[in-house]
Amino acid sequence: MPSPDSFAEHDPLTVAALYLSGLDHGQLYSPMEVTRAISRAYATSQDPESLILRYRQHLVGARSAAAAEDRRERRAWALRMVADLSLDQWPVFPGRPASHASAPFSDRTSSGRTFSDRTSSVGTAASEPAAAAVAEVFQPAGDLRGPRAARRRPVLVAIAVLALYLVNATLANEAPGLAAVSVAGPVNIGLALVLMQLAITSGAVLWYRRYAAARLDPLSAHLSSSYENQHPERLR
Amino acid sequence: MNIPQSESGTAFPVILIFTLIVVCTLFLSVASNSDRDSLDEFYLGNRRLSSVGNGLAIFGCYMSAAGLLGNPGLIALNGYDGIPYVLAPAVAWSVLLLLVAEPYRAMTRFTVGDCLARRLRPQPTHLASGIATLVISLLYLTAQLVGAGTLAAPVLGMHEPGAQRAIVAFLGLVMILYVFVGGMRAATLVQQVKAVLLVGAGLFLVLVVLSRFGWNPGALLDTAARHSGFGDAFLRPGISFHDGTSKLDSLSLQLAFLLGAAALPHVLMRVGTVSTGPNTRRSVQWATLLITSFSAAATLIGFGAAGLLGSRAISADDPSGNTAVVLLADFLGGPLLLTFVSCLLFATIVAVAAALMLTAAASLAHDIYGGWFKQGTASERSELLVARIGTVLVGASAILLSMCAQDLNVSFLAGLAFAIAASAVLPTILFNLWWKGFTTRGAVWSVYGGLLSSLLLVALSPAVSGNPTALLPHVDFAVFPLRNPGLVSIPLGFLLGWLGSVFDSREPGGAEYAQTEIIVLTGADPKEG
Repeated sequence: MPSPDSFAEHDPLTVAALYLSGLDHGQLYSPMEVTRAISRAYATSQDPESLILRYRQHLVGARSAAAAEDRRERRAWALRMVADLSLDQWPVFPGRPASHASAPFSDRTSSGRTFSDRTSSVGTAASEPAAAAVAEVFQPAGDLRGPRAARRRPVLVAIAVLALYLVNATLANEAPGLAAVSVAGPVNIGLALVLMQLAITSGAVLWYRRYAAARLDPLSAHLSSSYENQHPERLR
Repeated sequence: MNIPQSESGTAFPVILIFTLIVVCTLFLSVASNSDRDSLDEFYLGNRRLSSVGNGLAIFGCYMSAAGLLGNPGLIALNGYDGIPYVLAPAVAWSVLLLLVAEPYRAMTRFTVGDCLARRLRPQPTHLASGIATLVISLLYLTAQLVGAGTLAAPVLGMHEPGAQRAIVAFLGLVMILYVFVGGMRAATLVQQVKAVLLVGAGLFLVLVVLSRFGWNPGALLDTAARHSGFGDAFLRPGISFHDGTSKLDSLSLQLAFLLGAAALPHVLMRVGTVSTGPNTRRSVQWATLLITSFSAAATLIGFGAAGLLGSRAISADDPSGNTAVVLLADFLGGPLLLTFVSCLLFATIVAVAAALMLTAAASLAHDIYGGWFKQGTASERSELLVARIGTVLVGASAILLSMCAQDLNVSFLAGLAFAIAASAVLPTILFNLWWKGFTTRGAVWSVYGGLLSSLLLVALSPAVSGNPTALLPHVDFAVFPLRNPGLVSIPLGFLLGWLGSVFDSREPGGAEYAQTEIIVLTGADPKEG
C-alpha cells in the first residue's frame, strides 16, 4: 500500500475520491459516512481519469506552505481511512496490477458479472459492508448493469414462489391421487406442499429484507446521486 | 343464521363498541389533522407512520369480511380444496413486495393512473385506469355491503329482510360520513384498530382450538376429517370437483385471487401513502407476514371449526360457511368472544369499505376529472370538492346497488372484482414498471380489454343466468361455462398490453423508460432527493 511519502499517482482511486469529498479531515466519521462520501465524490466526476487528474492537480497546486501542509495532511488522512477500511486494495483483479488506479475501468464490459467477485476480493471481514458499498460505488456512473443484475434475483424468487403455487394447484387438479399419498399421520403430500408453500413464501419475504439492505440500498444511494449529477435537467 | 344466545344479548354491546370505535377514530383523526383542505391530506393522510403502523394499516385495508369469515368457512366445508384460495393472497403479497411495492410507490402520487401517467401519455391512461378502478371498487364495495347486511343483521338479532336493508343503509351512511370528514387519515386509523383486533382474535382462536386438541395438529386434522362427513377425503384435493368444468372454474378463481390480490387499487393506494422507499419495503413486509400468518391461522381455525362443530352443523347454519367463525367463537368463548368477533366484523366492513370509497372517489376526482377532463390543470380546491362529492356519489350508488342485490345471489362479485384487477390493472402496472417496450396504446388496450372481457364473460356465465343459483335464475344466456372469467381475461389482458405496445406507431420501441428504470432499480424517485 502506498505510504504518505510515495508519489500520489500510485494512490488508489478511493483515496483520490475521499480526498476530493466534502468530509473534513479533522473530524471523525463512521465507515458508512466515509464510503458514502467516496460514492458522492466519485459520482460527481466524469470518469476515473479526471478524478485522479483533479486529485493530483490539487495536491501540487497549493499556493502557500501552510496550504501545502494542509493538503499533505488531508492526503495522509485519506490514505489512513482507506487503509483502515481495507478499501485500498480495491479494486484488484486477478492478473492486473493493483497500483494502477484506472486499470479496473478498462474492464467495464464485465462489470455485471464480476460484482460478487469484487466484493469478496476486498480484505477483512470487519469492513465487509463498507467494502460492498464501495464495490457498488465503482460502477461507472450511468452503467445500469450492476443494479439490473441485483434486481434480477428478487424477480426470479417471485417467479419461483408463483410457480410453486401453480404447481400445487395443477397437482391438486390433475393428480389428486398423488397428493393423497400419506407422509406422516394425517399429513399427505398435498398438505406437505401447502406447508412448504407457506414456509417458502415467508422465507422469501424475510430473505428480501436482508437482500435489499445488503445489495439494493447501497446501489440505490449511488445510483440516485449519479443520476442527479448526470441528468440535472430531468429533475426539473 | 341461528346463533343460540345472540338474540338481543349481544346486540347492545356490539352497537356500543362499534359506535365507540367509529366516533373515537374519527375524532382522533380530525383532531390531529392540521391541513384539512389539501389533497395530500385527504388522499394520503398521515405519512409519518412507522413501518409497523403502516404494515398494520395495509393488512387492515386488505383483509375483508370475506377473508375474515369466508376463508375459515371455506376450509371447514371443503377441506383441502379451500386451502388454495386462502393461500393465494399470501403468495400474491410476496410477489407484490418483491416486484411492485417500492417502484410503484415512487412512481405514483395517489392513484394507479398516476403511476401510468408518469411514463405514458397522461390523458388516455388516467381515463382508462380511472374507469377500471371505479368499476373494481364499486363492485367490491357492493359485495362488502351485501355481505355486511347478510352477516351483521343476525349478529344483532334482527331477522326480518327489512332489517338487513336497514343495516346496509346505516353502515353505508356511516362510511360516507367517515370518508367525507376524515379522508385517508381516518381510514388509516380504523384499519389499524381493526388489524390489531384481528390479530388478537385470530391468535386467540388458534390457541384455544389447538388447546382443545391437546396442542396436536395431527389430532386436529384427524378429528376434522372424521367430523366432516367426508373422512380422509376431506384432507385431499377433489371433494368439491364434480367434473372438468368445476376444476377449470376453481383454477380460474384461484388465478383471479392470486393475481388480483396483488393489484387491488384500494390496497395499492394504501401502499402509495408510505413516505419513503425503505419504509415501503418494511411496511409491505409486515403486511405480507401478517397476511401469511393469518392464512395459516384461517386454515387451522377452519379445520378446528369442522372438528369441533362438524361440517353439517356449519352448512346447516349457512350453506356458504360464512358463519363458521361466528359459530366457533360462540362455541369456544360464549357471548364475550361472540361480541368481540361481531365488533371485529363491523370494524372490518368500515375499514375496507372506507378504503374502497376513498379509492373510487380518487379515481373519479383525480383520474377522470383532474387527469382526463381537466388535463391536469384542475386546482387543488376543485379536485378536493369533486373528491368529496365523489365519495357521496359512490357511497350512495353502492348502497342502492347492495339494497337491490340483497335478495340476489351476488357471491360472484368479489371474484369478479379480483379478476378485473388481475386482468386490467396488474398487466399495465407490471409492464409499465418492468418492460422497456410498453406504450400508451398497450396500456389502454390492456385496461379496456381486461375490463370489458371480464364483464362480458361474467354476463354470459352461469353466475348470471341459466341455473337456479344464478343472479337471474329465470333466463338463460349462459354460453361461457366458467363462473369466473379470470382464466381467459387475465392472459387476454397481458396479451393486449403486449400487442398494443408492439403495434403502437406513436411510440415505436416503447415509451421513454430511462427515468422509470432508475425508479425501479433504486425503489425511489430521484426527485425526492
